[in-house]
Amino acid sequence: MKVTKVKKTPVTQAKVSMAELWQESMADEDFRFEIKAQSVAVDIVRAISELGLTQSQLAEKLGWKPSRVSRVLHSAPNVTLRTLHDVATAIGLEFDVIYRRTHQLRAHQPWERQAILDEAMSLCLKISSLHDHAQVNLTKSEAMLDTARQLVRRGWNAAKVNVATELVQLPKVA
Amino acid sequence: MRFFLRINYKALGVPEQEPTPSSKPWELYARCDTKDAETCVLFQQIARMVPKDRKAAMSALHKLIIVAASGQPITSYYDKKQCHDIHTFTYQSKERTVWRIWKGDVVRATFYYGEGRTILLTHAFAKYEDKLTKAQKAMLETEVIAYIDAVNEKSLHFFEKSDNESH
Repeated sequence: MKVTKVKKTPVTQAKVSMAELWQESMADEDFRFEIKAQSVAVDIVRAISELGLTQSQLAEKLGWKPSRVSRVLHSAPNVTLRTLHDVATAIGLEFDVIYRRTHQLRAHQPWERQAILDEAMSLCLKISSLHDHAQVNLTKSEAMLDTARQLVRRGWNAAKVNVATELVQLPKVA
Repeated sequence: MRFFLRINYKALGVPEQEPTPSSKPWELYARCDTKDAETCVLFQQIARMVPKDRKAAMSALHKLIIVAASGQPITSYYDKKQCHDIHTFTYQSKERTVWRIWKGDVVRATFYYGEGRTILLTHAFAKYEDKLTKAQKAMLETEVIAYIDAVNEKSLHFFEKSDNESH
């Protein structure tokens, strides 16, 4: 008897909800702190880079060993307020601690402002273009409505004439 | 057609506004089985990890998303131990290099610089050893080659996670 091998259908991978996994992770205080700490570290690197400074130049300004600068910028989760102050002073910037509710938007860094302005400008242009289209469509709609009114009026007038004629032609009831 | 999901906060499930992109941001992508963010291969690898490793992987991706938005060299945000080239191979007469990011000594995320400002996230490994196994190297190569072939065949389909996708 001939046996035909049936090919197995590839097993579909289970779908993954990252939102659920993220929420689950955020229940862990250490994870939340880690996320915050690395965001601060990224902001410091970005600030230095936006000012055109290298990490070795920063080390020189601070009088630190390059390895210490590297630790602060890349891995140290326990950067002290003093370290933040020293780095900010060395690169000629101020820093603030801004509190917000979880659902509120975070404050923007100085280097983000241009991108935000560009985005706002692009949105304004889109809105302006939408407004122009709407204006053209409104004019067209008004013209169509006017034509429709005229047609209805003509129709009514024609109907009135027809009814009047028919009434005249009706035999008078004694 | 090969589907690649844009890896951003929305895809990662982070309920925050996306980082403000610079004028030339890097764009992170990872392969999906279908045009559905929940079939993302990288996310499936992360989901299979034990909680400690999973958190490290998600934290690594969170940082990478901010770093990518800056448009600056990825390596400037990591020291050499944290981000370095891990595997080089030749395909279609060109050297291809896969990079690796370490996170907390427990998780490694690998990526490949693709066309333009595209970065392909290939894998997330929960791995304690430094050296890649032969099997892992083969997996990296397969993923990169699939991407390069899709570029050549113009069969790439990039997409973003939409608001109305179910969780």
